[in-house]
Amino acid sequence: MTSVRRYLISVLIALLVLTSFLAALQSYRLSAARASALFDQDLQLVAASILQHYQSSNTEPEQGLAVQLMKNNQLVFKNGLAPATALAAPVGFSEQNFLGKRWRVYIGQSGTEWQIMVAQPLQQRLQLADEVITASLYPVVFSLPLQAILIWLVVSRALKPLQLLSAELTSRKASELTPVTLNQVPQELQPVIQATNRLFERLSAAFAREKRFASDVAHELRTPLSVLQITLHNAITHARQQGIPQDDAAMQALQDGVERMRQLIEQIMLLNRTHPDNFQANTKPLDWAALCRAVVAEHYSQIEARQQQISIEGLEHLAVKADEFALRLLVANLLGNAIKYTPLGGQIKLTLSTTATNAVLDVADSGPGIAPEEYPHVFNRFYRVGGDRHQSATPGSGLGLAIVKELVQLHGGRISLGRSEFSSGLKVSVELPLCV
Amino acid sequence: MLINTVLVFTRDLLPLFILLPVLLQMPFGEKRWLLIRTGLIATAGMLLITPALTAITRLADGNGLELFFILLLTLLLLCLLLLSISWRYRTATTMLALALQTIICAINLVLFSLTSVGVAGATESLWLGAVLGLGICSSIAVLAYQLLAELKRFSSWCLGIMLALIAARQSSEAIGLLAQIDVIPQLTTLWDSSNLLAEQSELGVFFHAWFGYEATPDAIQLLTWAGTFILMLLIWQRQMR
Repeated sequence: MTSVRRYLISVLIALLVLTSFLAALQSYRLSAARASALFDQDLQLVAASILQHYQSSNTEPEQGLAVQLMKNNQLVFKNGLAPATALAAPVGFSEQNFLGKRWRVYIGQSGTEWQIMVAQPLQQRLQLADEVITASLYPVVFSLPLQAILIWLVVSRALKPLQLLSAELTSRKASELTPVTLNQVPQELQPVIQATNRLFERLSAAFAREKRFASDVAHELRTPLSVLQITLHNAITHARQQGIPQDDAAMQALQDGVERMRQLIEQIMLLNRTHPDNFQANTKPLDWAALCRAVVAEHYSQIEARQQQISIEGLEHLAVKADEFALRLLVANLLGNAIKYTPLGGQIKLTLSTTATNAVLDVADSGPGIAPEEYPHVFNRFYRVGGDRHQSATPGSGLGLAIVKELVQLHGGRISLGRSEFSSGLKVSVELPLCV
Repeated sequence: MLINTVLVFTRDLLPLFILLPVLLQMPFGEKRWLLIRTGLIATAGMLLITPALTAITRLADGNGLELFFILLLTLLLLCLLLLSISWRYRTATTMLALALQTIICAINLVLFSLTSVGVAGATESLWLGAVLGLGICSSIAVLAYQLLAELKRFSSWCLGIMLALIAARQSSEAIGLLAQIDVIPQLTTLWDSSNLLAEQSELGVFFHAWFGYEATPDAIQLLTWAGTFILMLLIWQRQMR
């Protein structure tokens, strides 16, 4: 199909012409056959009308022609259907009432002496005419549903490329920005597809630039920041050793700022690394419980420093098929968040369990928690509950949960938030498919 | 009269309107110019033939017209064979094939119109029948073109089969004409399918125009038909390799 317009116009006209003309021909055939039968019937009526006169039967025929022959206005012949007296009607065709019926009457005259009257009941004539007309209408009426079905098929066929394009665009993931390719694209749809593909191309380039920019900036900043951190540490140590007076609070704020910036850069790089487009997962069966214990051990110094209570409950072994780096990062981020937002002396609990198909890790803390209306937003990048005035006053990048969500999605899992069983606090539940 | 006129117009025009969509499925550059040039060639041919029609009819003891038709049908068959063998000269061959088929149709219609003139009430039936016949044939051509375009996407064989059916029809018709003028013997008919599908019915006329349907074929006609059909398919298969 090169053009939907041309296809629809040509095929619909062809279908309508073909069905209409064939219906007209069929009407012609049926009408001609019916008319021929009626003419034959007329011949039979005339024959029957004349025969009645010479038959001794007293019964009047139900159908037929009434005939009267008059000479000098005197009735000289009449058949059974005709009235007993001469009918007074004008010469030619007219409609008259007699014998309780309405008749179509023809009076013929030969010279001044002879007159003949032939009459037929009007009802009978209408019935015969109806039969011919009805016969001619049948093909037209029957062709209409056929035309409707054919039009529906043709229009559906013509609009199929549009449906295909719609299905193609609907089935795409948000990240799929490759050009749309369809077979047999009609002329009318080509500009739409070209414009869509150009838009996809521009969007793809813009997304790639945005991703590269954040990653490149983070990468470029990491080295000078490390140098700055070491230099700052050395400067503070040197000043202390030399007994040079310094503003401790300002130096501490400077150190915290640099540390926060380092963490942010690390998180940006991790986010880039764990993005589905860049992440090369090397999945294998892992014991999630053992990995949780190892991560807790790695973070134990921080937990101890904040005098927090930590417990690991539930299953001692839990097999999942995952990438080790990704799973470790996931648990570390969740635990890091819990440590960060749980106050001094607070509680953290890791629980490992299973459902019918999934392995579940719940990380609950006794921190301030998050209001349920904030749940949908905390997985957005750089989103921090309460903004910079977060009540924990804890520095953070707002990327931790975004990274966790991407890691969960990479493994085909699910993440949800809820209230912890402590008096306050947040519970993060991660479900990953069980390793079978 | 009207039904007869429609059937005659449909029977005579349909071969052209079936050949046209099949040949237009070939890869041509500009189809409009091809059709215009074909129309010009056919018109020129008719301008030459029409004045000589009476003389042609009188040739060979009154068998001139049949012989002339056999010549035209044979040339048309050769064009179709050439198209199946190679697409190298497809434009010229297609133009010639369409022009020959147009001339055959036009001669038949001229003869029918000439014999109908003077018959009481024929003029109205003639133009009405011509309109109905032309409408039906054009519609079939448009639908056949779209259907072939659709089928061609699945297999190029549908084009080969259509060409083979049309070529088989030409050869069968030529053999029928040869038997009509007693050049070849008229054998007994193999079967009579008139009860199932009469040649004069709408569908019978369509099948006759498409692949040469005969309700009462004889052995020579059938063999010629089958031979041409198989030969065309074999040539098409070679072309497709």
